[in-house]
Amino acid sequence: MALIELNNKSGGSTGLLKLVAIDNGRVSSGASGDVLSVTAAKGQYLRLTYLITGSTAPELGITLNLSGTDVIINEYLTDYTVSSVSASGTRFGISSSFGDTNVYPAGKLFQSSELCTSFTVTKVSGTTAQLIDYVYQTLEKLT
Amino acid sequence: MITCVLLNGDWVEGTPVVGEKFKKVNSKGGELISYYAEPEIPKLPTSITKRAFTRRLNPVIREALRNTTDEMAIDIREDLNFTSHPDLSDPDLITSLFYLVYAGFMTQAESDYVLNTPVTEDEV
Repeated sequence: MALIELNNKSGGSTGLLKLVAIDNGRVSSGASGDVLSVTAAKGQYLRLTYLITGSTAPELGITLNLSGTDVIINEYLTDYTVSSVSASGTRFGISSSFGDTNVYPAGKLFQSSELCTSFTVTKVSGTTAQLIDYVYQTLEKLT
Repeated sequence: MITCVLLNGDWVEGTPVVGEKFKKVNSKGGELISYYAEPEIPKLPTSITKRAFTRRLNPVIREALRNTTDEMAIDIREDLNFTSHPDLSDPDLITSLFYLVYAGFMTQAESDYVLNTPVTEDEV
């Protein structure tokens, strides 16, 4: 059982948490607006552990919102090859491993998001050209 | 977990098709809204262990290969002996089985069974 002690962004401590579910999926290409929107049930928390395109090309113009805050605004969502990300790169992605170990953890590549109560992935304009793969955990207080 | 699709602006229980907006609601009320895409199906490798390969050959075929004086069949048997993980998609292996069918060591159906039976996790 995973035990995690982290402070909630909104203030106060979440206390010890236990992992109750791991969900994954794939957003189709051709999607527009909020292409992935997840809201936790009351008393539960979410953590994105994977957000990468499902191909070898990035998706342009993606905004990532965690618990109501845009933490990534209108940037490239990277593909899993991460072929040219440097620390100053504007691509972002979430994964525990990337294809090119030379660049990890440069740029905006994260192993997971912060705990949140909701997250939204938005295609800022037009429609998505790539599949987008995601994995997130659902956690709740250990009782 | 309930899955819904949009019908005339309302969420109704249903199964989404590729590209369709859908919503999933879990038992505690948490929800996900996205656009449906088929999940990627994991591909099993085509190489299997030598033991698994041997199990795909019935005892009559194995005995015939052990006792053969057919030089081609002996070569095939020796090749298999030196291969730790025969690759069922390897053109050389496919040609070898084609020869074994031609030479009467196995039937076409038996060859198809060896090559085309889906690989299981305990064979890799």
